[in-house]
Amino acid sequence: MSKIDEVRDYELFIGPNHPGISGNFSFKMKLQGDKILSAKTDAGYLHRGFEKLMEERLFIQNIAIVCRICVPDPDPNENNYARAIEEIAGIEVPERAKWIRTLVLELSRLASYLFGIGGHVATTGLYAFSNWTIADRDRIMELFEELTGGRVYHIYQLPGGVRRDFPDGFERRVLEVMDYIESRLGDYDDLAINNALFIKRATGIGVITKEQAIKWGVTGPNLRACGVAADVRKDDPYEVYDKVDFEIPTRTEGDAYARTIVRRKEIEQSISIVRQIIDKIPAGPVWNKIPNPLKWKVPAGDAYVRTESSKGEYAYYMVSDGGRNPYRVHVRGASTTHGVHVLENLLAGSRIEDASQIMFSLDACPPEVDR
Amino acid sequence: MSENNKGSILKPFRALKFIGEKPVTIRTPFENRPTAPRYRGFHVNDQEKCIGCGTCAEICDNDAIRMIEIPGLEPEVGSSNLRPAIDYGRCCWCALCVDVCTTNSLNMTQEYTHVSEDLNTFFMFPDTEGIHKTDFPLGYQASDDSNFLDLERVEMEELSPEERGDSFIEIVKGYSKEQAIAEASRCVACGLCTDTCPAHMNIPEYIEAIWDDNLSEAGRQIYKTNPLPEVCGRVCTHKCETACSIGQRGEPIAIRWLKRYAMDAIPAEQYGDVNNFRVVKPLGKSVAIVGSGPAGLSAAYYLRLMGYDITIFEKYPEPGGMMRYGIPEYRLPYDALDKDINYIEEVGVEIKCNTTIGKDIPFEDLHRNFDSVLIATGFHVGRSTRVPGTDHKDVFQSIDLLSKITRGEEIQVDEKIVVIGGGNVAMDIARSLARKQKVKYGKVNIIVTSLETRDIMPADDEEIEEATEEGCVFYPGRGPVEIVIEDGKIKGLKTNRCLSVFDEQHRFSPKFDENDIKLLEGTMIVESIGQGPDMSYLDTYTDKIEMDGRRFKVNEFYQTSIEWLFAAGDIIKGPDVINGIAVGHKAALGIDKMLENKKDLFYNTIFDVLDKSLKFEEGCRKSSSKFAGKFSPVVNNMITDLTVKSKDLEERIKKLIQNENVLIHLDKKLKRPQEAGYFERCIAEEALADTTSEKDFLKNMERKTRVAFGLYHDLEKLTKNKELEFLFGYLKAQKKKQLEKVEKLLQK
Repeated sequence: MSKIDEVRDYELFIGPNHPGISGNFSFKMKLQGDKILSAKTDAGYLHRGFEKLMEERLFIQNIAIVCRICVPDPDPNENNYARAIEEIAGIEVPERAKWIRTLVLELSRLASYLFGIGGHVATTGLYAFSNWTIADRDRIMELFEELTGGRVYHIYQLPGGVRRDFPDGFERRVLEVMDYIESRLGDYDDLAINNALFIKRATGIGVITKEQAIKWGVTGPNLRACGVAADVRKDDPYEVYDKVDFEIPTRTEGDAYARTIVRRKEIEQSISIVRQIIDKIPAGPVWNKIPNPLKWKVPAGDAYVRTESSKGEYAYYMVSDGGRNPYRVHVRGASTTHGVHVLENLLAGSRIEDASQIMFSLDACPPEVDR
Repeated sequence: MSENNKGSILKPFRALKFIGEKPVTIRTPFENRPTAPRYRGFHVNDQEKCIGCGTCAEICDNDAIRMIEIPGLEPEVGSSNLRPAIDYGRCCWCALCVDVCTTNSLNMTQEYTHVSEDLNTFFMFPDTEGIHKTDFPLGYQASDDSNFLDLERVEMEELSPEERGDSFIEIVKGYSKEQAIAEASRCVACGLCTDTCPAHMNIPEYIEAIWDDNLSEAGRQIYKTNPLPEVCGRVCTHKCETACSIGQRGEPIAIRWLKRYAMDAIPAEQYGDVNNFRVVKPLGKSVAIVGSGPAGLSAAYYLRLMGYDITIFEKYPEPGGMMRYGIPEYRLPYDALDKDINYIEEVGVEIKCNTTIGKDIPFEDLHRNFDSVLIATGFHVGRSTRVPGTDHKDVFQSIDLLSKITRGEEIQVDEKIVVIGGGNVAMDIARSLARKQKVKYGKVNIIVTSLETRDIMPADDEEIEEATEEGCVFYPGRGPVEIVIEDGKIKGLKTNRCLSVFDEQHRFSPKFDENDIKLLEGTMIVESIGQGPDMSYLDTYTDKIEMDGRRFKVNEFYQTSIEWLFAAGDIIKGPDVINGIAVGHKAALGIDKMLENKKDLFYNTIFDVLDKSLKFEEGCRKSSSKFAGKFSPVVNNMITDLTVKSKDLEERIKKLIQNENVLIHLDKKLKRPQEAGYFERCIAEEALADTTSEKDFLKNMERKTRVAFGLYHDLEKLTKNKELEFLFGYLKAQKKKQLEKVEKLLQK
């Protein structure tokens, strides 16, 4: 009997701050030596009761709240919220606003992926790479700042459109940033993606089979890494995704490496979508005025709207009883599935040194779990 | 990146090429990174432009904006003495406040750094220079394209000049339900209108009720301060609309038309049900009111509700005063007026028409037979220009003609008429005569001339516009010299140019250009330059009443120097219906005070009691929240807690008093003197002094909370009604808890 097997079982509390996840999230793990026997997630550190808060506030006031449900990728929240109201109240959105929204969603996705792959690579000890991606993500933050006035929380999409049109010369600067990020992809591959050490560390870790993925309700890049080409943007196109060309990269391995590769490939697709938008965006108004928001009743009804966020399928179910605040808003984030159920399953049986890698490769967002 | 990529060991070393690059994010020494021009940084607020409407605080989803009173700033029409202060511990920089600002005075800058160990410095009062007085460039700014407010009014349909030119049918068609709801939804409920309205009507409240399609509530809110809403819904001078914050950049809310819609939509037979008001109990005391104009009717209504027996004496065949005999039917149909007056009669006010005091009944008799007398006889005697020729038989007073038209008497209508005067009465007579001319001659030939030029004519703009549409021709800025008479017939009015109407002290002192003479042709002249009172009915009392210039000397409750005699309406404070209503209501309170011999006016109806108690709570809340940003988190939390509780209380009381039984019960209880005493004692707490230290603040809070505790304790004691007992008991318990918390903190 080797020494390591003689180590007794022990429990470990990991979190709420640790390198495995972008936010506060913790685990109670049972281990035997380096081997994780079981992991129980302990969520709630970022619980601010968003869903309940929304019921107490005017429809307009919630646009300042929803973006906080996912910090690295806030725009799908705004988009879902606005579209849910639009669907219930039958509000038309000007064509240009739809294109701008798509642009905002793609920029947000890019920023989130840069954050995500940087984070994953960093969990293997290669922090230089995450410094790069986060510095490059900052360029996108600057675009957001220019367009919306805010860097992280954009509070930009309103029911009926968006709050402001492009500032002068914005298109040019978007293209410059896209060119820049594209030029960096080679460096990314050299340093991390094609780095033999990283590949060795990430391959075969946290494997989800195609069957498991479907059974567990995995969506987004994590599902596509298991060989399923599912994407809300293609399956149920919203805004102007049916008017732009893009592909859905997939992998079949279903491991941590495959998930990051999918994200890395999607960066190229997003850059292409952004360029198409800048090329094709029509002129026109960007907002169809809604009634005075202080005295605004959204007619009774309900709506289920979904977007493809960088985390996966992201949906809002909104019910209005005809009053001045939503009767109920349910947030269906992909992170609850990935960050709780999938993660607990994957951690059991893996090794402690891979835990944070598995977590980050799933790219779950704790506030979205807690909401 | 092929499927079986083994990767490279050497390629990662290519990253070494960046080794000499300047870092992207670190800058030493520290420097502020310049932001994008649209950056949402700290706020700036143009204090001059800002009207303190509080809409920013209303939309703020974090309660980060508080409206604070500015010392030395006087509230004006359409502007309060409050200005927003921002708690940056709460602000989330969403800029909803910027996009909803009614004046565009609130904007954001590109400034984003504030470092301080003193938490109080995060509670800031934005002005034009920014928080650090460093003149940062503007960031996120208000934009007309994405402003949240609805600046355009729902258009009111009116009869065209052709349709209305020859009839006295009401011009304004009124809003439909959909139109009214749409118009009501534009309101931001800032309450500047309430401050400006002479009667301080609960305008935001009834607009909200209209928006909610809750007409009963709208009616209830309206009747709290105005018993002539059908009239005011049509002919009010709507000073509220001048104050409306939406009017800063757009068209003000059509407050008058909304009131009209609400009252038109409630059938007359439902008025009693709509109004929770009941005559509390007969007091066995009586009040005589002379004149059934707005002031007299308003006083009668509110006195009646308090339990007095009211008799109104009216000289004309029908009640209404100027509303009936001065305002033409096309502006105020008699049906609408009757609807209001009938309800006032329904609550038990007796109106004796065709009874002239001083002729049919001597004034002395009123004093003998009634406990108190209110005179509200108005201005019914037209003033003359007294230029040569005014004694001609074809020179008329507008007020006489208008009254004759109402009474259906035949009046002289010539083919060419000159009207002298630039006020609303001049417009009324000009437009009435235009209609008569149209019927008689098929065309209109009316000249209206006034001393005032078009820009300073006292008549409403819409009146002047509509008169022009109906064919009246204006010669403003001209003074009458003489009426030219040839062969016993009037040829016209000779006028000269008026250079200025008022002198430097704004006294009436017109100056004329004697060389600029013009003859305005017409065979009939109507003078409409104002009216005066006829007080001859007062008989010997004329000498006994103290005068203040040309008017009676009255105190704040419109009581004259004779204790039992009150005066209201145009003879005290004109010139319109709403002022009459306001003065009448106040005089009613004064009469009640005098007759009940109350020390002070604490309440008159149950609503006053509840309003007072709510205001007390509101006061606690305001004075607490005013300092909230400055203190430690523990105290802050407690204040927030208080605020929530107060809001809750308001809702509960509002809901409860909609129950009629509860109302009657509380009314009965509170009308008993000893129990009223409890109440008075409880709220006789002076306002919180401004505090700067936390300790002082807590002490003040303790005192206030203690008083509130006492208030609920006493209210609980005197209510044996289940719901009320529960409510006040609950509130008492809450207050006790709060008190304990404060005391605990104080001990620390």
